[in-house]
Amino acid sequence: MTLVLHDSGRVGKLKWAETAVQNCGVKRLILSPFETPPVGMPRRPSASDCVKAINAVGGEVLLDPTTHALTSVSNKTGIYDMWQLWSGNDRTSDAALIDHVQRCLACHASLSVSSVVPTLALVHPTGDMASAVLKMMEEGLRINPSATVSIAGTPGFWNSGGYLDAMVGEVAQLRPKEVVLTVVHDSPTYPVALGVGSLHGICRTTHSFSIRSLVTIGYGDLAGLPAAVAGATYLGTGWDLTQRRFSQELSIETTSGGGGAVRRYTHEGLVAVLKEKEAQQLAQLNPGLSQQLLPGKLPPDIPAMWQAHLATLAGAMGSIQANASRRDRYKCLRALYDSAAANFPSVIQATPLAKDHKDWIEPFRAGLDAYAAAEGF
Amino acid sequence: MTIDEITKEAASALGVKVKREVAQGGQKAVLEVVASDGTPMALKVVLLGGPHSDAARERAAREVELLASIHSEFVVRVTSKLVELGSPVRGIAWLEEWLSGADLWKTGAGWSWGDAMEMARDVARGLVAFHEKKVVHRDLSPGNVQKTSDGSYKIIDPGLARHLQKATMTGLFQPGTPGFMSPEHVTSGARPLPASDVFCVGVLLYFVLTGQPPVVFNGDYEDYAERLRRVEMISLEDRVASLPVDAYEVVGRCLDRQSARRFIDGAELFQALESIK
Repeated sequence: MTLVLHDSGRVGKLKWAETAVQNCGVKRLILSPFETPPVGMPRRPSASDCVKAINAVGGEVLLDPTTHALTSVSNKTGIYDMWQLWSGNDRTSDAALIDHVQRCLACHASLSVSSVVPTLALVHPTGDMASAVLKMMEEGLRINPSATVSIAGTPGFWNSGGYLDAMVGEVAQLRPKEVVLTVVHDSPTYPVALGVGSLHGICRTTHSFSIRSLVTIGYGDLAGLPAAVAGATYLGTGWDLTQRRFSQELSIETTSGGGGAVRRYTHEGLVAVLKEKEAQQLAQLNPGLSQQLLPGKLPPDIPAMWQAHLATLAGAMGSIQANASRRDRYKCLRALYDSAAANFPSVIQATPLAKDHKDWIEPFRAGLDAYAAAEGF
Repeated sequence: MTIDEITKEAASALGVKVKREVAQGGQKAVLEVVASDGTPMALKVVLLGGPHSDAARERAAREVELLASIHSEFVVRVTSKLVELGSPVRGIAWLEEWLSGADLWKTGAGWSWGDAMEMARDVARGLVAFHEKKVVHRDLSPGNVQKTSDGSYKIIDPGLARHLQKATMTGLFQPGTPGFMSPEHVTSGARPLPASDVFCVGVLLYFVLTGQPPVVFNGDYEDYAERLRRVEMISLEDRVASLPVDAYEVVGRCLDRQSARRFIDGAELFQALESIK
C-alpha cells in the first residue's frame, strides 16, 4: 500500500478509487476542494460520502486544501468557494493565512479525517512566503499535533542547496508526523522536466524528513521513484495526467475532458508511459519486446490502463522498498533505469515518435546519481 | 568611570565582598565574591559607554532574564537581579552561583569516550532546559561549558542565546565562537536551531576526544565558513581509531551537515546518550 490518489473531477472517480484501494496498492485518496464539494452535487459525491466509501473498503481519505495551487488567475472556484476556507478576499496577510489554516483544520475535524496543513507554492526557501509557510505549519501543528505538513516548491526551490536544507531543518524542528513534498511545475509536461539539482534536492529532503516522519511525494508518479530510494513511504498519482504532476493549472478551468489523457500504457520495463498509438505500434512491430516491457495483453480500456499504471507504480515502489538500506534501494532503482534505458533504442525504432530515454530516464537517473554520490553510496 | 570603580559600586549594590578578579576583558569583568552569609558567588560586571553600549546592555539583560527563568542543575544559576550602576547608567552587574573547576579549554584533550559522554550527557540535559523554552544557546564553545569540582558539567554564558520565536526568521551570519559554530551560524538566510546546539555538542565531543574542533578556524573567517557549510572535516574515526562504534555514530549524527538529520534537540540527544550508557 504505497500509493495515494489525488483528486480529480472524473465522473465515477469514487468507484475507481474503491477499486484502486481494494486491488491496486492504493492506501489513500487525497481530496481537493477544487474537485470534491462539501455537499453532494450531480456526478460529484460529497467529501463525507467519499470518506465513508473509502473507509468502508479499508482506505484512508485526506482533504488537502491545495492552497499551493491558488494563483491570481485561479478561476476554478465553483466548488472551492463552497468550502469557505477563507474569511475574505485577503489571501496573503499573515492573519488571513492563519485564519485559513484554522478554517481548513476545522473542515478536517468536521469530516473526521486527518489534517493536512495548507501550504503555499514557494520559489525560494527564504523570504516572506517561506516565513508564512512556517507560521502556517506552526499554527496547524498547534491545533493538531498529528497534522500532516506540506512543502510545495518550484524546481528552483528544490534546487536551492543550503537554503533548502535550512528550511527543512526548521520544519523538522516542528516534528511533523507526516510530510508531503510537491514539485510545482511551471509547464505541465509529462514526463515532467526536472533538473539534476532539483531531483537531488527532493531526494535529500525526503531522506532528512524520513528519519522521523512519513513522507509522501505529492503528484510524484514515475518521477517520484528516486524519492522512494531516499525514504518516501507514499507516492502520489491519479486518474489523469493532471494528477501525475502538479501545476497550478489544477485551480484553472479547462475545456478538455481529460478522457484521452489516460489512454496511455505504462510499461514497467521502460519506467515510462507510451501513448496508445505508440504502444500498439510497438506491439505490432516488435511483439516480443512489447510483451517483455508490458507483460500480458495491452489493457483493453481506460480503467484497465489506469489499473495497470497503478500496478506498475506499486510494483516499482515495492521493489525499491523491499531493500532495507538506501544504498540497496539506490542499486535497485538504478538497475531498473539502466535496463529501461537499454530497451529504449528498440522501442524508438518501432515507434519513432515516442519520447525516449532522454525524457523518461536520464534526468531521473542523473538526479538519483547525484543524491547517491552526495550520500556516499 | 573605570571597570574597577564600577566593580566596587556593583559589590556594594549587591551586598557582596570581592575576593578576587577571575577574568577581565574589554568591557566585562568576572569576580569571585562572597555574600554576607559566606556563600561564594560570581559577580559579573559590564561597563557601558561607547558605540556598543546598548547592545552590551541588551545582551546582559537577556542573559540574566534567561538564566533566571531556567532551572536546571546543568545550567549556571543567576542569584540576583540585574542592577544598573551610576547615574546616568554607566554599568550593569549581577550575581551567579560560583562554579569551582575549569572550563573545557583548561581540561585538556584525549578524553576517554566514557568521560566525553558524561560531558555530552550533562550538556544535553542543560540544553533541554533551553530548548524547552524555545531558546537556542548559540555559543557552546569550550569556554562556555564548565567542569565543576564534583565532576558534573554546566552550561554558562548564554549571552548570545536567542528565542526562536522572537528571532528574525532569516538573518545574516550569526554570532558565535569560530571553530565551535554550526553550519547554520554561517549560512545566510538560516538561523540557529536547537539542532544547531546539538551540532555544537558534537564539536565539543570531537574537541575533547581529539584536541581540535572538526572544522578548524585558521583566522580566515570566509574560508572557515565555507568549510563549515560543507562540514569539511577529518572523520573522528580517522583521528581516533580506538573508540566504540557508538561514539562514531553519536558524534557523526551530531555533526551531520543537514540539521534535520541530527538529534533534533537536547532531549533527543540525551535520550540517545542514555540508550548507550
